[in-house]
Amino acid sequence: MATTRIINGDRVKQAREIKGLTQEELGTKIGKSQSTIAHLERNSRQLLLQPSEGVIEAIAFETGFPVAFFYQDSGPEFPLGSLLYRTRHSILKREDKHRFHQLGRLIYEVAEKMAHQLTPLENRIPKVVGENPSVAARITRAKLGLLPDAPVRNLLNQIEKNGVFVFAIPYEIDEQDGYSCWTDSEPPRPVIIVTGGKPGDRQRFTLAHELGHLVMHHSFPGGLSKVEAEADEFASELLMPEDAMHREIVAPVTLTSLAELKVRWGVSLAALVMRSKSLGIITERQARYLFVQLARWGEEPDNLKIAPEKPRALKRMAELLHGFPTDHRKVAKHNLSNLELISEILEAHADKPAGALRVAKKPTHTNVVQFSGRRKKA
Amino acid sequence: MIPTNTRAAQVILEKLGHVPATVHEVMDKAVTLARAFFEERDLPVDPFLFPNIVRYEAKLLFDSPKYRAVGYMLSVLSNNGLLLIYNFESTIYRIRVRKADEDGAFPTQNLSEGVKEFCRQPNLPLWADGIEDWEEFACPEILKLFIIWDVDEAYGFTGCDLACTKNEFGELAFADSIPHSAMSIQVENDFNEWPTEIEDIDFRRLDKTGTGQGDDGDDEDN
Repeated sequence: MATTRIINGDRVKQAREIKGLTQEELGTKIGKSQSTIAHLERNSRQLLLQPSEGVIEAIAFETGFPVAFFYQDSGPEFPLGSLLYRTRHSILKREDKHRFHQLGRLIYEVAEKMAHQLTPLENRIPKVVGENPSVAARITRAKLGLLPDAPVRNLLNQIEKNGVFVFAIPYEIDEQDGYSCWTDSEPPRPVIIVTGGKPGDRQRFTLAHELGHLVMHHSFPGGLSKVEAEADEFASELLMPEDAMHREIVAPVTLTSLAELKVRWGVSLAALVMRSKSLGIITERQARYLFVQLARWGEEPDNLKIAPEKPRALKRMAELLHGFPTDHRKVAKHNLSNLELISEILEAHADKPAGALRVAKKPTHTNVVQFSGRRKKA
Repeated sequence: MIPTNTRAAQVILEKLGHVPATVHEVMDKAVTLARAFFEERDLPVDPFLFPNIVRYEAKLLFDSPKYRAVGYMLSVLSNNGLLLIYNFESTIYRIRVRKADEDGAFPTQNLSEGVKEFCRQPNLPLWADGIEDWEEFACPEILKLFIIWDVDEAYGFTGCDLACTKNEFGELAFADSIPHSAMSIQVENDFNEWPTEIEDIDFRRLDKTGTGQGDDGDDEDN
């Protein structure tokens, strides 16, 4: 006797939200009402009458996901993490928030499936409780094997090598740079999701900020603005250590003198002005003058722009399991997923860097690349 | 300042090498220090004293080894007037550094005889107008220039302009703004690239015993 396959409404919702469609918009596209879509997403497992194959095929066509995608289980839980409270303070649209989360969830599921077939990365991200953010940042630097007061190049790579899953969403989402969470898996895994289209210095601050959440905020009780301020302080100390800044930011502070620091420390001019002010190196009024000058530029000039870094781990796993260069169709097929989307996601991640060693032989503590030293010969 | 004959100004800016960016940087710092002078004393900025402090701080900075390395000679005139002398190819560039007038324009009111004389360049009209091929043009033996700095109403530095006058009335042969000194700083292209000695992410495929089998996996789908 043939068994009836049961549609998973959660997958319908996921595909719809990834496409950025409202229930009404999807309904219109497939000739159904909004309430039908809502009902399908909410109750499909309890529906006495399953939707017809034609309806599912229409949804598959409109969302780009294969029909089989809608019949699979929901996969691992993926908490909202810092996205939960970030959105309360930003003007992020609800649709964008859902899209952002569903894309992160989809990538995490793909990665988690591949990770099960690979040796686990050691997680060296500390959980620090009861310390102020600057101390937490110093502890984190030490745990990651970074020198206490040197610039950190390749921050994203440093974070990945130390056990954080960093995934790139191949789209720009207004007002939203990234979010992070500890997954509900056993053991819990730290994950950071970043969006595309942001300058490199901004991306680095986002990474450091989200790392701060992972290190310090394991639950999100009240005082959400305080939590955000703590993550900012953590990021500032991680990227611009207090001792080094007192040594390097010398009066008179001008945009030009800060630009010289920017190219060494990989942070925005605005972040350097804020840091100078918070450390008492410049006064509130001096900071205001500098911000007025920055505002005249609109955005930082091209010669000061830092290219963003791409995460590597997802593509590395795909290469190990599906060959190099990776056939995106195989990854999409393994995950019953949208080929175009999987391709875009993989393209947002880094290829094996030319000349890189294949793997680490053992954990190293020489992760900081000195600027003055530049590159060593391979 | 209204840009005038900007093509000529750009050619001269190029011939001056690092000097324009240096003057911009020095004047930015001098303005910052002058503001700090009043702020530290909790005094409102005195509009008459302010430019004098700027010139004094600028003189000290221009005279410091860091900036002298650019290759100019500093000559201090009466009333803290600043004159830079820079030689390039067969031309001596004499550059006076002055503050813009209240409207941000080239200052033409109440010029001293010395400044009027500096503004006069009788040979300039022969070549300053209408020459198309500026790169090929040889500058005169001596070219007298101004770099004009300015602040906004809050005494924040707004930048510098290069100007060249034709006559004692301050009529401009050419003028254009000097790019911000931060424009001469360049981020390394490989800032976020992985250094060559870096290792790839340490994943290995699990074998049947649940341990890593090596650093490279083959295509499992084949």
